[in-house]
Amino acid sequence: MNIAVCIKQVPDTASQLKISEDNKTIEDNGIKYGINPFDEYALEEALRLKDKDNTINITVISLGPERVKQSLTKALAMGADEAIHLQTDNSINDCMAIANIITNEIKKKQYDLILFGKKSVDQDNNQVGMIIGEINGIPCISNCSEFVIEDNKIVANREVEGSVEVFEGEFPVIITHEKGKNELRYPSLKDLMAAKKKSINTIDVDVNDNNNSELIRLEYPKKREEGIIIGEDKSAVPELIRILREERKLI
Amino acid sequence: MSCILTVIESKNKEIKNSALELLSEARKISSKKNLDNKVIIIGEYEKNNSTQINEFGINSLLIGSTDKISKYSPELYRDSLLHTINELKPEIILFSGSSIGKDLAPRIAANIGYNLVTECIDISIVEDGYEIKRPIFAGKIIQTLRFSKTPIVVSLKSNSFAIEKIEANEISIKQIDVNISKDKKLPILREIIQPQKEVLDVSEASTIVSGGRGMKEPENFKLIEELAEILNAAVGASRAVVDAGWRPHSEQVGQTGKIVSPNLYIAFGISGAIQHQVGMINSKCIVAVNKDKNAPIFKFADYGIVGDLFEIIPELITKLKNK
Ligand SMILES: Cc1cc2nc3c(=O)[nH]c(=O)nc-3n(C[C@H](O)[C@H](O)[C@H](O)COP(=O)(O)OP(=O)(O)OC[C@H]3O[C@@H](n4cnc5c(N)ncnc54)[C@H](O)[C@@H]3O)c2cc1C
Ligand SMILES: Nc1ncnc2c1ncn2[C@@H]1O[C@H](COP(=O)(O)O)[C@@H](O)[C@H]1O
Repeated sequence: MNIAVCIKQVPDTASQLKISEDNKTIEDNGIKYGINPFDEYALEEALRLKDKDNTINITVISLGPERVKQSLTKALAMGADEAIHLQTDNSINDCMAIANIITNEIKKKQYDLILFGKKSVDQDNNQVGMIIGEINGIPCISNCSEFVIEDNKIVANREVEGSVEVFEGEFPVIITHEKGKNELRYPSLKDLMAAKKKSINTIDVDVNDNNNSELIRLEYPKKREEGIIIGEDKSAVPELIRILREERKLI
Repeated sequence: MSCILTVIESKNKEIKNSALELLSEARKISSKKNLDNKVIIIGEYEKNNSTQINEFGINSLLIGSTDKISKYSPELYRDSLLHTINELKPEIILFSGSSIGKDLAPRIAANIGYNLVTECIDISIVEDGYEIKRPIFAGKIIQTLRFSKTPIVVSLKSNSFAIEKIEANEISIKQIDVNISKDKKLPILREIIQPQKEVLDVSEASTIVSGGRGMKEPENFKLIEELAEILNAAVGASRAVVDAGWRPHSEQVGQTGKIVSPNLYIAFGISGAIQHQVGMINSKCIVAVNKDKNAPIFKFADYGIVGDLFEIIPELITKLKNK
């Protein structure tokens, strides 16, 4: 069985971001990059399948500049078999363009299962997995928190408001992954050293950014004003209730 | 005349509350741009149920509703919608940011070759098209995009648009055909796992009562549940307690959980780490209870009580119960 996991490199979730003077870009210096958390959960799920069945081959694919090699190396250290770097120096925000480039790559091999994160935490698009499913005619089950393989079928739990939908499907299939129930594995230093010796297949790609949108500006959200401390113990409770009830009419 | 098409969802044969935000925004756009205001509803729906739907200046309502489509099926919903879109050729299509909207909008956009803009918080009409604001980096930054070429597909972030009704009008209602794909290889919905007792989801609730590691033990969440029940609120959680297995992931608020914006968010024993903060900072009012006066959450909460939650929650419950 061949599994592909598409991983995007994004700024660490703890990063403080600074908008550049042009008001259109984010200052790059000082940003620590890592694998998009949802993609890392997807990779973890793939690795857990491989833990049980060593014939499974896992390819990680990432589109981005030179620095994404670090994330691919980490994925190899976690246990992926192969890594493909779709290299471009341009920043791409057009999901359709990203989907087309990744499509070209996944067509080269017979993948049974193609995993995505439910969304990238930098652009928060929530699109690429479903688009790739549509343009390739591969069924896509989105927003899954866990899945298993049963009788050569995939059974996946899709999280929706207030309940879980259990979908059953045949291969090939695409899954976009939520945060899973499983803890992520951390590669040891030894794994990392070994991974650095593995080769990453680098392919230069042309970006055909057809996005018909123009970025006008980036800005910070309105800052919340610092609030008030009502009190130090339970004696503050009546005042809190009064405020919420009478002043703010929230309860 | 060109049109705007709004895709709304139903629940228990009624339109969902989230649809009202979409309908309000659709009305504004349609009147400013002089577009025919068309709405499509797919899923179980009985038109007699809806008293509200005629207060949004809708010109025509298309109903794609049969018992075959009562449960969400991506392919079925997609095909029914595509059929209508190809006929109407709308210049803008609105979806909600619900789990159906998130799944369906990209599929539609991919098939008709439109751009999709997700999680929009503001749509304004400019001379040559639309200017749309959306949060990126989990809300640390807001971007403004201009679309001078239409058509576009837009999905709205929940709880970001005001509901505004106008005088009721006559709507022309049309039942549409729902295309049933015959392809057997499609995934099938095997079952829906419902929680033992119906719970309000954090992404839909107008009040959220959340607990973090300060709750000490999973059993103590009974306190949170009791308070939530009194306030008709959803229970939320920090990642720390979800990872510890105390609470389900569906309750997690934050970067790798749900990004919420209720009217009232009350946090007990949550420190306010950046990844939690981005998930709830857009709540209209934030209350924090934490025994550490230096906890980061007090930097952005509107009201704080520095104290022991095990004293404060029971007191809140008692005082709220006897009004
Ligand atoms: C990639 C990534 C993604 C993440 N995503 C999320 C996310 O989506 N959501 C999220 O929440 N976190 C997320 N985190 C984790 C986040 O960084 C924090 O670790 C987490 O939010 C801490 O949870 P907490 O506030 O419950 O626990 P703590 O930080 O341990 O805080 C517990 C608080 O309880 C207070 N307390 C203790 N006892 C009492 C008492 N008796 N009465 C009153 N107060 C008391 C303490 O003073 C303390 O402030 C993420 C982290 C990473 C790296
Ligand atoms: N540049 C990229 N390289 C590899 N995978 C990507 C890239 N961009 C997006 N993806 C995948 O698509 C998912 C959804 O991204 P998005 O639609 O941008 O929210 C991510 O979680 C990744 O799995």
